[in-house]
Amino acid sequence: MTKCNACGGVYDTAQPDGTSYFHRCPPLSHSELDAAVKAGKVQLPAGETVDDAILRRTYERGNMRDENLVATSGPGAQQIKAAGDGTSNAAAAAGAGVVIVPK
Amino acid sequence: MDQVVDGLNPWGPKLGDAADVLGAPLYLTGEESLLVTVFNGLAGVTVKISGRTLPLGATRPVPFKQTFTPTSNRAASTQLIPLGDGWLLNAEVIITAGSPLMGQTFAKMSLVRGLTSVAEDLYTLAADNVTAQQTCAWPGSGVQGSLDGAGALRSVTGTDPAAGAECSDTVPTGARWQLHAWNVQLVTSAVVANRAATIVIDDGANVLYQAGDGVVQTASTTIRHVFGEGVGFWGNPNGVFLGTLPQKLQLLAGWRIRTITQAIDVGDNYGPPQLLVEEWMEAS
Repeated sequence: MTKCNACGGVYDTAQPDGTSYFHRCPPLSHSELDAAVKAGKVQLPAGETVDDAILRRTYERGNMRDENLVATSGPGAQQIKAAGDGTSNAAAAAGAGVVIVPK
Repeated sequence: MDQVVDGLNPWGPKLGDAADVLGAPLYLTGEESLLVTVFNGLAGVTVKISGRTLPLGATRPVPFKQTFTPTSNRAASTQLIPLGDGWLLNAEVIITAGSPLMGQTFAKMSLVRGLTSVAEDLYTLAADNVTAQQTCAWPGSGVQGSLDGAGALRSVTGTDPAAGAECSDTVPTGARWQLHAWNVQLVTSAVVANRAATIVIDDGANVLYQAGDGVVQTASTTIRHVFGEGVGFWGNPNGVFLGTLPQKLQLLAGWRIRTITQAIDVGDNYGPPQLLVEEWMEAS
């Protein structure tokens, strides 16, 4: 399993059906935007709350990772859209998948 | 059988009697090559290109065969096969390793002039999806579109987001998806609040569709939020909230399926979404 260092998301780049999975960081959630506002990283328009902001626009991470290819041919077929902060190895989630119960 | 060569014929040598039994051979000057372009989304696939030519002056067809491994990221993989002078009698592409479903591997055969990456495309011989049982053949297949027919059904496991984060999965480059169903489990923290989970479809920037499942999720609960084509809202306090997706919703590469959750807490934890999609190669 792979962990994105930018958003903390965990994913498997090789799907069980043999295809590949390409991660892209999600936009900030309400709680993440709230933390960013309190930390001074984001300034909301006057009179706007975090509740308003999260519905009115999308807040993307500055260190967003997007593993999708730039293009399907030419030089872009060899490049991902954004490396972000890279990745780390991660253990599979506990309790995930199929559990075989002995007879 | 003897081959009749007529040097005065501006259209090139004649096949003579052979033309009656060789179908619709394509004349080659020696400067043409066979270009095979494959768009593939499955690991472990090997493609075989084979066919026959009748070289100038020969009386028997000569077979050719070449295999290669295309990339599995839906980018274009190409093979260029010099054909010599004479006639191209037939050619085909088939899978010889791996088991792609219909829609996971798309091949196109073209006649090009030259042997480099800037060879001039002269004629598309055939284009079609290929599997271990279905070929893309000339003559025979015709020129089919990569989006024609049914796509490959896939069960996709998305990213398991960190606590307090939303879900988001993106249609990969080179693919077109039709979203049939989507579900995710949300475990809420002990912080008292009514969470309202919604599914959002956007084009990478602009929201195209957003819908909730009509029920709020309270603190310290585990609920599976399920969205399907054409279903109505339904909330079972024992574990499943059901919401609706548009029917036949097709998504382009770069479009996203994600969540926006009102009142989400830093300790709330989504699991990895599971998506039921139908996928085609965009082959663009």
